[in-house]
Amino acid sequence: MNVSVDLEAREDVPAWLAYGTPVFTVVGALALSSVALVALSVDPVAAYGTMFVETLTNPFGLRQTATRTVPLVLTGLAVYLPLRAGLWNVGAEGQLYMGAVVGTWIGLNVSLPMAALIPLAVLGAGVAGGLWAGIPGYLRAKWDINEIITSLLLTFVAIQVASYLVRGPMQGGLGNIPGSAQLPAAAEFPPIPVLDVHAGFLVGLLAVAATAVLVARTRVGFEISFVGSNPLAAAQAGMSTARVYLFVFLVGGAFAGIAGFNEISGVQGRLRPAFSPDYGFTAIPVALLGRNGAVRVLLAAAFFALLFVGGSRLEVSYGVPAALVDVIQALVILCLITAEFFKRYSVDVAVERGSDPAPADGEPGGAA
Amino acid sequence: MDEDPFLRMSGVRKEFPGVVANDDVDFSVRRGEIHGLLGENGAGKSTLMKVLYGLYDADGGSVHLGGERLDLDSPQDAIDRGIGMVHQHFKLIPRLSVAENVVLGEREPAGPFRDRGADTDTDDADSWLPEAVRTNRLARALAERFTIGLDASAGEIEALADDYGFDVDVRAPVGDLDVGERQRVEILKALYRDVDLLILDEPTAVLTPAEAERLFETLRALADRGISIIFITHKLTEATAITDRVTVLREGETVGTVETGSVDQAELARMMVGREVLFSLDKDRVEPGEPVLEASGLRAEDDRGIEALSGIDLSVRAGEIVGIAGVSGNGQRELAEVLAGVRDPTAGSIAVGGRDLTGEPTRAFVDGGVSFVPEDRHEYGCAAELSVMHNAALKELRDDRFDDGPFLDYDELARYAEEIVDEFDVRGVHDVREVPAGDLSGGNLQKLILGRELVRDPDLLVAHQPTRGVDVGAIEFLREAILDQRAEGTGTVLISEDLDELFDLSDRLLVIYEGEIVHETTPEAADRERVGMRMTGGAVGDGGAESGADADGESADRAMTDGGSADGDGGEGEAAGPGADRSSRGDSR
Repeated sequence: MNVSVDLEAREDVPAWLAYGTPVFTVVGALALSSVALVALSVDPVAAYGTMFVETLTNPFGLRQTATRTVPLVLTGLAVYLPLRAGLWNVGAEGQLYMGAVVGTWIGLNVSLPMAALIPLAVLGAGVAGGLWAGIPGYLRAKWDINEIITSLLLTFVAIQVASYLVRGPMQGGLGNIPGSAQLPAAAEFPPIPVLDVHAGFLVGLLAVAATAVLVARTRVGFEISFVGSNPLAAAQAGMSTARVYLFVFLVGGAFAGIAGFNEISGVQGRLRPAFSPDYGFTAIPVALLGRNGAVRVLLAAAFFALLFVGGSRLEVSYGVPAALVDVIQALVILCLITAEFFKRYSVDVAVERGSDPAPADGEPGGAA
Repeated sequence: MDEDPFLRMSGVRKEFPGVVANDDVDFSVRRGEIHGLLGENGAGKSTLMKVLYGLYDADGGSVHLGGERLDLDSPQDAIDRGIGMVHQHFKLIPRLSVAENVVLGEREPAGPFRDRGADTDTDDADSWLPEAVRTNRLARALAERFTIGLDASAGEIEALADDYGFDVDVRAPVGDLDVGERQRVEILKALYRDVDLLILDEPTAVLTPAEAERLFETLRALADRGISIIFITHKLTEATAITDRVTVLREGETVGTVETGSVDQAELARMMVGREVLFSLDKDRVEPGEPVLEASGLRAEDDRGIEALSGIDLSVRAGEIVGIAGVSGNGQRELAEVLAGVRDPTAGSIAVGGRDLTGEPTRAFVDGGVSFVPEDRHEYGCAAELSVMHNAALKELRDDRFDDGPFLDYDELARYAEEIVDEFDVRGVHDVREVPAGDLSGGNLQKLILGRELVRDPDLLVAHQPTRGVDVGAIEFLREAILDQRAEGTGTVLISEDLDELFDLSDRLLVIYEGEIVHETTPEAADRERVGMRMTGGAVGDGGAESGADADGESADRAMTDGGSADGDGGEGEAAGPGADRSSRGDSR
């Protein structure tokens, strides 16, 4: 007996595979995670029922999922846009913190009516996040310094800066506990009527729409795609790769910065150290899963939000550790990479018996 | 068919989804012959050879080698049966030495475990292991599996190389070798494995003419020793120069096998493309107009910061094609990039259509009427994963005809792309928005790129190797397109290593050597031998002083000095062109 595995590079990716990849990825990850659930003596079917069906069928769960989606989609776009241009912004978390700091500061220190204050704070947060991301963008554009390293390391700087500020200059309202003062009502997103989700959700949707139009309908978007696909050819045609690189980081960082302020203004009310449960890092698999379009980033963000929310429900109902959600997330990433492999190669597994002289397939052709 | 061919492939069929790559192909090779396998891109040459080399399973047909039926599952099987293949892209590890690369993959155990058998006289110092261990079968099996001996064989490889007359320093790291030498290492790898049949996949694609000539010598020597060689090519000149017989494939089928001596190139070309191919293009007289390019004193550095252009003056007039001949690596790439505005010159000035563009960004060149066909269509010419539409519209993207308010008018882009696809006969595009440029064959992709550059009616076209690596049919089309554009008043700088192309298309011909223009002539007045010599920096033989007169004094001196050293030094002589090479060989033997 002889088992042979044949790998062949695909010439074409069949349509069902191209579109099905995200679905298979998610299903595969959940299937693998059920191993962990079984090991914890939890029935996976019931557990996933709790996690997804129950979360999605009650208003509270839906509202929570929508709320969680906001920072994930905005930071997801912050990764997605540079990814279109072939760059990795892995520092969305830091840009989110910078946006939260500046947005909160404006909310606390500027007195204006809500209609002016919130846009101003959103703008400030966007500028802060954009500039923070602009540093790695500029370094990459100008001196070809690896943006993965700089954007990642600047994240830790940003987190420490925020941590210092809420213990020092910006501390207030809570005695000795680190944290800023509570934002005034004029700086807090009002809830959207009926849906009862804070208005930052609309900001997220707007950002998705703006990104979709930018990428698919404008010259800048054309240039971003071209630079992302072949920067040398783009340069040869007179596009400035440096400008594209800087642009995607500035705009991406602005989205992440806005995500930071949205989270403070719409959910938490005051800036605390370590307020983000790694939204900016979860943004990376969000962007990978949704890399074919801004709307897909939104879907991916909603899925990861559902994992967050459903995961905590699971924790409460079955007493499984919250880390399980991390496991599922990690498996999604692994499955995604695996799916890429299958997209590129077709795999044939053939089992044939050892000493058969005639070829297994086709006509024997042993006429000679 | 032959009475007793060494290799016989009959009725080979290989299908891919939607394509029959080989349809009932018959192919046979005699012992000790050089057999050309000729065909356009996509004719099925590579597929056939991959079947032979065990990379593909045929869907039908049979392969016999030396009278025995072959049934290969992998290249390892092929190697075991004495079939070797030299791929177009070398499979070498730059940091390892030549000898290490040659033995790599042979699963030689490390030195101490090696059972030297008969030749115990070779350096035995490292076999400190007792004889019993070395000959123990279990120990040997383990050693073969878990140790690797890259060290011991340098002497052996050297002997092998000497035996075949390869002068390669077997201890040098492969990374330090030039392309021609690396190819010899690949051949050496095959010889080390005792091949009887050697497949070379378009071996000259990466070589300079001189290196190619040297390769041919090597191949003839191998054939004289009884090794059969299959030489895959789509260049007719090579097929007629080196092979004994030629088999032509077209669209996956065998067109026929002929004795090379009995046919001429035109006949082979007809077999290849299935129709008459024009070899002499109709070149109408075009009265040159105003200068479109005026460049003077251009200096530029290559990517490593070493000066590659040392003061080039160049002027091209409307409706004129100026050919630049030279052996690759003499500054052509830098010249093309400087003229296209992609690379900043370190000195000198460039004006296009009377406008000084020195130091301007690439965009000013593109918008100022400069079109550029880069040497490497995949690296520079296109974004392979983006659609034909994206690639077709690349240069005219900023034109306001594509405005749709603040947005980009994608429908207009698609129409624009379709026009180029139609006009330039780009095949394999059913929907310009859907088909990625990378899915096009080399010739069609090149038509798309040239079309994109020409359809905008440029003042200046900089074309670097516009027909390299494409099939005969496409070459003809591309050359005619360039000539048509000349009639429209475009001035062209044509940089090529193909002398036929330069002689057919150019109005004036310049020779570049080590970053300087060393010779200027016209195709009518030119002497090929002399052009070949000038390309290699030589002013060899009788014409030394005389040929110095037609270039400026400084470069003539330089050319003569270089020529002198080339004569004196065998190592330098290798780098010489066909003409020089032939004469120096004559001297040394």
